[in-house]
Formats: sequence, structure tokens, C-alpha cells
Amino acid sequence: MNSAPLDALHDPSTAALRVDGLSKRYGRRSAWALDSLTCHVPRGVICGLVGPNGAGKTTLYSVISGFLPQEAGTVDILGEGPFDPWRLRGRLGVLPQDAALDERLTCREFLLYMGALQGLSGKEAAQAADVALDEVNLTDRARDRIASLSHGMRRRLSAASALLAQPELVLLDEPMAGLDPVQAASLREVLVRQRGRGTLVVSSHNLVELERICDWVILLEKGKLVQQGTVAEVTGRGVHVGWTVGPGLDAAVLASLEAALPGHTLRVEAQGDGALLHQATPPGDDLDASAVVVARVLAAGGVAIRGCQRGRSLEESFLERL
Amino acid sequence: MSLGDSFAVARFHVVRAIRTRTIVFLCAVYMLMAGGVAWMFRYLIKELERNAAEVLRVPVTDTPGAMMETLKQREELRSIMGGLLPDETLVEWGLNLPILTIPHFWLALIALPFLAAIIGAEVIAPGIRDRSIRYELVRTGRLELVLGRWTGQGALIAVATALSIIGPLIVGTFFMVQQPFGASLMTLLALTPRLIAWSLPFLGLGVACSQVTSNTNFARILALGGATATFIAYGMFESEWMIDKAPVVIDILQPVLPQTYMVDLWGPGTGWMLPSLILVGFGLVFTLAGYPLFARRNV
Repeated sequence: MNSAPLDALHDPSTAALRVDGLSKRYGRRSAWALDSLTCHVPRGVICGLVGPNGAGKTTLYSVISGFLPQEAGTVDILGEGPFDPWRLRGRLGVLPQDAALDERLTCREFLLYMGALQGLSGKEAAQAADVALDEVNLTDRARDRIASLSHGMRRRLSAASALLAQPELVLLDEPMAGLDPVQAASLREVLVRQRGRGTLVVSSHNLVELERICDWVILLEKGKLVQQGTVAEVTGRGVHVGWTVGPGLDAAVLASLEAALPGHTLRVEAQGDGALLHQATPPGDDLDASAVVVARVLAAGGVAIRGCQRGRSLEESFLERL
Repeated sequence: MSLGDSFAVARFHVVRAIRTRTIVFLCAVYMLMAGGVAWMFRYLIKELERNAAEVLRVPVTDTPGAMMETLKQREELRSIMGGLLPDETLVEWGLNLPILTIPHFWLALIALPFLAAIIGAEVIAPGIRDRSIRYELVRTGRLELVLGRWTGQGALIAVATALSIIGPLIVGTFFMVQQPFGASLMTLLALTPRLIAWSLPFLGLGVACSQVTSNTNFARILALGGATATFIAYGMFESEWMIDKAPVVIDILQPVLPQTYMVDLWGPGTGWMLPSLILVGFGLVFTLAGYPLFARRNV
């Protein structure tokens, strides 16, 4: 996890990537793909870009990478302003979604060319290509034509091109799309290994996977920011506990809980023969201390505690906000 | 603007063409076309020699070329050469060259613009369509990419044009007589840079079309249409009617047509060099004609 203080993470002025009021639409009569979007990605984090289909994730990547011009707003990449291939040479890596690879080339040839365009010398490009291929476990396919690679291998090769020579900021658009669980896990490991080397922005529909690897999350819907923050903030790990309990959580026990925890929000959902108790603390309250109180009251009321979980899953948080 | 990037793109374009054998296909097309023309012209010479032999009551030879000196004095060959070459002085010059070099050069002047335009149309559009161009555009500018691709493709056309002389050389050496290999080779090599320069504006036209659409077939149609339009426009500007009715239009537009400099590519000496340089410049300008749109378009 990124160990930067929370305030620093929320300070856009030091961010690796910052967009401000960004708007983009495909044609004058179409809906806004990005609608005055303002968000940022702190330096050094692995950021998950989350949103349903059509939320604007790929458009956002494309505008940041200079593939699409925006209608309004600004982009600041690594403090260098908008995308500029020379100022950001070797500092920005991008894995574009659905971009084909030249099937007639070998994996190594492709990466050597990418290295040459990044301004690396022949020797440096060769070295970087070998490292990147090793990183994505494609060393044994280095001299094979891209045409002979599976979909998963191609995604890994694309990821290798984005990670080539360790850029400071890497944008990965749906890197795990279409991969089987084994390949996805393999690529996820690759991304996790990048932690501490730079800033990664990863979009994916697999929120369980994103929750595992990300420190920072940006939730988008219809081109607008729904929420951004640390995973703990977005999932409510600091303010929410879910208690799975057995039978006996009646009105009397609930009244005891409310009396013991003034200002807390308590909500009960029936679940099988028991219930699911949602406990939300007011801002600034000590969640651990209040959790102890809940446990005591439940025990005193003879209610069995079957399990508890701090915060919701990213998927639940995502669905709740849409 | 980074020339280094353009060079990297151009070099990769050439390396990829070699690696993927695209260059082999391109050279084969050029050689077959040049060889085919030489072969047809050989038949023409054979017929002319048969006619001449009948008139002169001398034996007919199976292998054409034996009566070249006689043919050069006769009206049939002179009238054919007069059709190929733009003026009488050049006919005299042409009759003193190895005979297959003239149709080779003539056909190349007609055919290369269309070939180059089609090839140019394939330079950018497919990459926009399948988005593979994005990998490059993260690392270099759009202008560098366009210029690099034009340069790289120009280099491939140069190689194919240079190798296309093998066709007439083989026909002249092995299927004709009195066609000295050395003289033929030197003449064809001397004509090759002119043909390369002549191709570049049309390659540029194709590259321009390739930037304005992601549909490669549409880009090809645009490029072929554009190349054809330049020939039609040139023909119109040469017509008496246009000269009479719209001399100002001709004064303005004719200098920007590559065909205006085509005649100057013929002939001995170094007179072809300046028009060739102008044509290279046209190649660059035509290539950049599509850039304003490409610079702003979604890729």
C-alpha cells in the first residue's frame, strides 16, 4: 500500500495525473462521454478506474494519452501539462484497449521498436525489451511472431510495452479483459510487482481483482466522477462494520445497541435464520472501540456473532453508489 | 519536430517490410511490370524487323535486335519513339540508347504514379482502423509518424524501382541480340533516380489520403482518383481551349502539378536534377496536405 499521508494523497497539486473539468463527446448531438470530470491520481499508487460500460474510462485514457482531443478541461500528466510525446518520452506507458499488434513481428521486434521510439539506444532498447518480456513471462516467446500468441499472451505483450523501461506513469485500459483466471492472475502479479516503481492506473470490470491490488479508486458514471479516494475510504473500512449474526437480534437488543452507541447508524437485514447488522460510525469516531461495544451488547443479548467485516467490498460500494 | 523520430519510424517501416517480405512482393510487382513491358516491346521490335526484312529482302532473324541499326533509319521505329518521347531532339537521344530503356522509362512514368498512390494509401489508414498506431503515438508525434512512414515507404519504392530494371535487362540480354548489358545497365541506373523522384509526389498524395480516413479501400480510391485527376488536369491545361480561355488558371495551377516537370525528366545531362528536387518537395507537401486533419482526428 502507498504509505503517503492521507492528506498528501488528496492533494491534487502533487498528483501524478490530474484532470480538471474534462469534457469530451463524440459528435455534437451525442451525450457527453466525459462531463466536466475532475479527479486525480496520487503519485506512487496503483489506482483503479471503475465504472460501468459507457462510464467514460476508455475515453478518459484516450484523452490523457492524446488519442482524442477534448472539448474542454485540462490534463496534467506528471506535472508536465497535457500529453506531449517528447516531454513525456519514456515517462508515460500506455496499454490501449483493443489496439491491435502487428502480427507479423516477433515480440522482441515490437518491443525494440517501441524502445527506439522512446529514445532508447539499440543496446538499451534490447535490455529493456528483455526485462519487460521477463516481467510478463514471455521470454520463451521473444522470437515468436505475435500471430502465434494467444489473446492472453498478446495482452501481456501489450502490458510489457506499457511497462517498457519503467515509466513513471502507466495507464492500463482493461488489461485483464478476455483473460482466463490463470492469465488474469499472472498479469495481476505483474502489476502488483510494479508497486513502488511508479504510478499505475488500471481499469477493469473485475472489482474483486482491483480491490486486491489498488490503493486509490476513481468511480465514474456517465462521464462524471462519483467518488475518488483510497480503497478504505471508498469501501468505508474506517466507518462501517457488517456483522453477521444468528437468531435473537430483536428490537430490545437493537434498542440496547442504539443506547450504547449514540449517533451511530444501525441497520438490520434479515439473512437466513439470522441477520446482517450494518454499523456505521459518525465521522471521527473510533470504529474499533464501537465495534467492541457492539460485540458486548450482542453477546449480552444472547446473539451469536457469526462473522464481521470492516467496510464493504469495492463491488458493493460501487453498486451502492450507482 | 524530431527528425530522429521520423528516421526511427522510417527505419522500422523498412525493416518491417523486409522482415515480413512485403518488400519482396513490392519488388516482384515492379519487376514483373517492367519485364512484361520489355517483353511486349521485344515483340514489337521483332515485328518491325520482320517488316523491314521483307522490304529489304533479307533473311528474318528469330531473335529480335539484329536489325536495330536498320530500324533506327526507318520511319516505323521513329514514329513509335516519337509517340513515347516528348520532342524530336529526345527521339534522336532515345534512338541512341539501348532500345528497351525507353519503353521502361515511359511506362514507369505512366504506371508508377498509380502504384505509388495505392501504396501510399496503405501507410496510415490501417493503423487508425485497428488502432495499432496508438502504440507509436504514445511515443512520438503524429507529424513524425507521417513523415517517417512517407520516407520509409519512399525508400521501399526506391528499392523496388531500382530492382525493376532487372526485367528489361533480362529480356534485352537473353532474349534479344545487340543489346549490350553494360550500356543497358548504366542507362537504366541513370534513369532510376528520376523515376524515384517522380513517384514521391504520388506517394505523398496516397499518404495524405491515408490520413483522412481509417478505411483503407476508401483511401486507395481517393488516392487513385487524386492521381488520375492530376493527369486529367494536366491534359486540360495543355489543351488549346484552356490555354485560350483560362490562361490565369493554368498559370496558377500548372506549376503545382507533378506532370509539369515530367518532360524535364527525360534527356541526357543533369537537366533532370532540378525538376527531380521539385518533385521530392511536392512529395513532402502532398504528404503534409492530409496532416491538418490527421493532427486533430480521433485515433
